[in-house]
Amino acid sequence: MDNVNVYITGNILEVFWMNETCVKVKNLYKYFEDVKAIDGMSFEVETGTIFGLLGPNGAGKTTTIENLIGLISRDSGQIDILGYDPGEDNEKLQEKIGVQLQSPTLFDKLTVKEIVSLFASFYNNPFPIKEAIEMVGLNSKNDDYVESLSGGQKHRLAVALAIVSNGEIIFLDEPTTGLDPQSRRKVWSVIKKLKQLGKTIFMTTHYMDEAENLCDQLLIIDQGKVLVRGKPAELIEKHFEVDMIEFENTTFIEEEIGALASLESVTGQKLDKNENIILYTVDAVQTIAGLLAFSEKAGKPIRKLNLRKPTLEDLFLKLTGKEIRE
Amino acid sequence: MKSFITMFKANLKELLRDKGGLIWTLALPICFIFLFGLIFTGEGQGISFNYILPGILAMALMQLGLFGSLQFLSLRERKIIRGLSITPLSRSSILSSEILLRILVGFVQTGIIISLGVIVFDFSLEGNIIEIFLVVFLGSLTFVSFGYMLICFVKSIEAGNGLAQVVQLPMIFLSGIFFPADMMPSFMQPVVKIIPLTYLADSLRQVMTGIPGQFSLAVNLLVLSLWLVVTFIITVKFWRWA
Repeated sequence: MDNVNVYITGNILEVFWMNETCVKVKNLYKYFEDVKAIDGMSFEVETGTIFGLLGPNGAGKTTTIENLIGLISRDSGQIDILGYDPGEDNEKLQEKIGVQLQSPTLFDKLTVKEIVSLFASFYNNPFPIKEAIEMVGLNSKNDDYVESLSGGQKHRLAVALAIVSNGEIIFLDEPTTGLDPQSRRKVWSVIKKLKQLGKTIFMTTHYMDEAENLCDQLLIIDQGKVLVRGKPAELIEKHFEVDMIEFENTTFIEEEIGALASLESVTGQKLDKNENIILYTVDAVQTIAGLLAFSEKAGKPIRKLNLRKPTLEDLFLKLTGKEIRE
Repeated sequence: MKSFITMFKANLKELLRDKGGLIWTLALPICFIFLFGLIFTGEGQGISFNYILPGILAMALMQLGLFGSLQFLSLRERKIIRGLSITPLSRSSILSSEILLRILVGFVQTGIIISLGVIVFDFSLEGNIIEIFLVVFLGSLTFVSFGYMLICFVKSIEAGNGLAQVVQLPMIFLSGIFFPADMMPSFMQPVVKIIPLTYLADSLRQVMTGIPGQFSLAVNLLVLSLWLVVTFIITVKFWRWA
């Protein structure tokens, strides 16, 4: 019953807030000497959503965030965050946002509780300190010095410092990079909790599963440019109206592989880097039936047969011709 | 104002919990007092302990300023300043909380050095306490500014530490804190007459002991103020937050 309520409320909010945006970026450019870190980006972020900036290392994710929060200045373009222009209204803007930077460093000799309290004191209307620490699961480390925390714990502490701002938008730059699986899930639940509290989350990631599971809206970028944007599931559907049939290429000769393309309902085929054969199909059942008949006729077995939906990984590969993690 | 106070507390906690730093700022002047107290309190010495103690205090204040600025350098190079700069915390709060802490530590050092001198080595304090603390205040401020100026030109703690050493060594030997500067060879006199430690030590000697100074108090304070202004202007010009 609770779930149903949440679901309905969520939908109503979406309808009402559909056009309310809290971040507007137009024709953003930022070059570092001859490196085009941001090469003409435009996008908007809807209030109350989890917005993901997805791309490989060096795509321009961090530069984008640093531009948005006013940490570096842009070459040209317009940025509007909650009605403020970072670079001009930094003081007012900083009161309204929380930020977790990559590879955070903090005062070593303060305890977890002290450093969260310190950051809370910078804001007029901070998030409750105890709750912020609990959300990231560091309550057992309350009185430990920052220097005694593990890398993952420091990372989660940095997320707590972003939370304690009680900002309307929380910027998280690769919030789970380098975390163990348990900490990752902890951070994911924190992000979902923040969304429930009505915050907008602007995050960067190069993890496909994270983007797929967490983000309401995705902006896939590469080399400073926007490739596509939309809901993760819709993006995949839009670019692949198909399923994928994957199997190990054991003994098929080139001609036989070519013949596979003419099987029933197949729209495309390719070999991946592990020499697996991939068939794109609009009707998986028909294609599999055809494939089995083909295998029997040719007297060649099909091994490791796998039917799956395309993922963001496949989408990125299709858009750029390269894997996202290199 | 609220964040200024919390930053001050954070700096204070960092200082008190960093044992190495605490020894550097408090134990070292104490060691010097005992060392020179034992050497110079015997009869028949050319230079009295009364002459030495204000010099040790001046040296301690100089080191506080020069090496204290390394704290900011460390925060800057470890990108902690960068992390703070994305919060509403103002930059002036970051610096002013540090400077206030530095000056208060200077006052504590002054108290410890004078008390030890009086209690253990019969230091004869002849002067107005308020006057002494005003000179200590100006001296601390000048060397804090000097220290901040130095870290404008280095990028690592090691380099900052090296530069502070290079600056402090000639000052210690040429400022006349251990023996009157007019005993220096004449070709050294121009250096003696430029370095700020000469004037801080000279003015402290005058207000603490009544020993006649090399310069008048007015000249001393004027030169110190000039150093403060010049180092401050250079600092502002070359300052780096990141």
